[in-house]
Amino acid sequence: MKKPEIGGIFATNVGITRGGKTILHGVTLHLGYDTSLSLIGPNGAGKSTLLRCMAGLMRPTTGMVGLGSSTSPIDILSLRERAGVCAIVPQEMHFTLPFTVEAFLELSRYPQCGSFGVITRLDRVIIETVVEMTGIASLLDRTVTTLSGGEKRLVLIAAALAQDPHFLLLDEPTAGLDPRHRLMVLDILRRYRHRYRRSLLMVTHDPNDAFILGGTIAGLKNGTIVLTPRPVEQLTPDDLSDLFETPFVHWFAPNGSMLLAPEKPQ
Amino acid sequence: MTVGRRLLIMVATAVAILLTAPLVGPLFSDTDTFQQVLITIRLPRTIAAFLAGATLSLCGMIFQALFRNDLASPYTLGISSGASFGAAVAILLGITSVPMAALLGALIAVAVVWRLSLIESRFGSHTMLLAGVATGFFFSGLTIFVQYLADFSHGYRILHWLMGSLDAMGWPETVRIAPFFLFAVVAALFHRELDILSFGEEAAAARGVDYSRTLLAQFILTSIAVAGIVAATGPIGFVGLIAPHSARLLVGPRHCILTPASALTGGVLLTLCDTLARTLIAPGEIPVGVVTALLGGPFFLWLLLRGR
Repeated sequence: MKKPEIGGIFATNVGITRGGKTILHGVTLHLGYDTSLSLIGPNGAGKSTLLRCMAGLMRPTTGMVGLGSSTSPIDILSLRERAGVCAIVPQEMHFTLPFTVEAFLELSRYPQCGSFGVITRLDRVIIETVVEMTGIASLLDRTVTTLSGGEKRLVLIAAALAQDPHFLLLDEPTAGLDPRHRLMVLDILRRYRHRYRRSLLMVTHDPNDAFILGGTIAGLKNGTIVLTPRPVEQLTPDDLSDLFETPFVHWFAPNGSMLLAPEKPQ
Repeated sequence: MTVGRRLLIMVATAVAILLTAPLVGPLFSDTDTFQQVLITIRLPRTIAAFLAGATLSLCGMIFQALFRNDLASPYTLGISSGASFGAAVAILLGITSVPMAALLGALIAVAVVWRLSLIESRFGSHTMLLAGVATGFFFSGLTIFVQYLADFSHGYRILHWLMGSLDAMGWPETVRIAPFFLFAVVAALFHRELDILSFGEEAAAARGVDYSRTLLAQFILTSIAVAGIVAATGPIGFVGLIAPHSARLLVGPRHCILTPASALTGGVLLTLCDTLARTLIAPGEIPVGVVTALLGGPFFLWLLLRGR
């Protein structure tokens, strides 16, 4: 599944104004080829909005989103072509019809299927691969309306992977998960990136997620990048204290990895 | 039982019912008269019932997927109210071609809903649903006003039309509604898009389906289909709501299989109901809308509770 190199998604001076409220103030961010970037920030910072813009699902009010280079707009691709390049894992998805998980994965192959939508052997292989990678083989015959929160998140990730994208954009993939599912999700993402050399952009509230995923980290607050992208190891508790306006403390786990948590009020 | 086998059974049932339905009813001792009644009255009526039921069911299925709403039916967007108003005016003024007036009324309602939906910059299902419901109430109000103005015999004819009936369906009328069935079939050919649209607007876009464009195309195709059927038969209720749900319970939600299953269920349901409507109190007739509601409701509940 090695893919030709696409030079990344380039958000250049992206501004979004909705209903008189400015959500993003000219944000510039680059998601490169074969990188993982964690975007952290407080609630309402505009992280999800930026993610949707970079996936080409929302048109910026000012500035532009480029694909391949900062000067070639992502809009020149049709929605279907875009879906073959970027896949997005939403925070939540509300299903109204009881599709089986397998049918849901097949439908997520839509951008790559021919006009008659016949599921080819290649489609089958890709679906089997993502099922194996996300460990959801036992869920295939379940209906999507009966999944638990953790199972649903795994299925949503599998569906995005089934699109076989260059860029995987995730909106708080660990939010609301128990510790086991949280680590499962992060582990899947890490293995996926190393195995297939694809790019990840993960929006999260928890800096520890970024440590597990590795790569670079950037901070967004009030619609502006306040923490420029840097290797995640260089993140300091002070950066986080500024970002979340809450004092952070850090300590080291026995295996040497840094853990961060907001300081308990006295 | 596999889904394919279930579909096969549905096809067999449909064929059997289409073949036997015309034979049901008062017998005539005179073979020639019987043949004539069979060929010129009952056969076209049976085919019309099947086509109308299938079209209403397909359109209901499509609206339920587009609006992500179980309560959506072919009449949700006020098309039937527009047709009713057109028919009521035609009856009041003594215009002979009631179906043409009804079709005109339905298309006016469609145009109003379309125009109202365009007020929002993006063509969205939420605005369309609200616009449709509002348009429906508006035309219902007008129809009641026309009924109020009408004298007793006109008022009765309007009421009769509003209940929906297949008694006027001879060969020419049946041939005239056939193209509208095809509109619904063409709309249902976009079965993968319907599957994906049911995930919601953004999830559909993330998979490469343009919500607005698909919604617009589906709206135009299904609206014309519903308008054509309602104009010919009056607003026959319940089929378009119940039949797709029943089909979904039998074969699952995927539209590639659900489409033929919905068409068959709707067609069979309306054919059965119409056969009962014209025979139960023969030579009188029960309005077919009454039969669809009385029979379709319990049938649907049985399907729903069957697995519990």
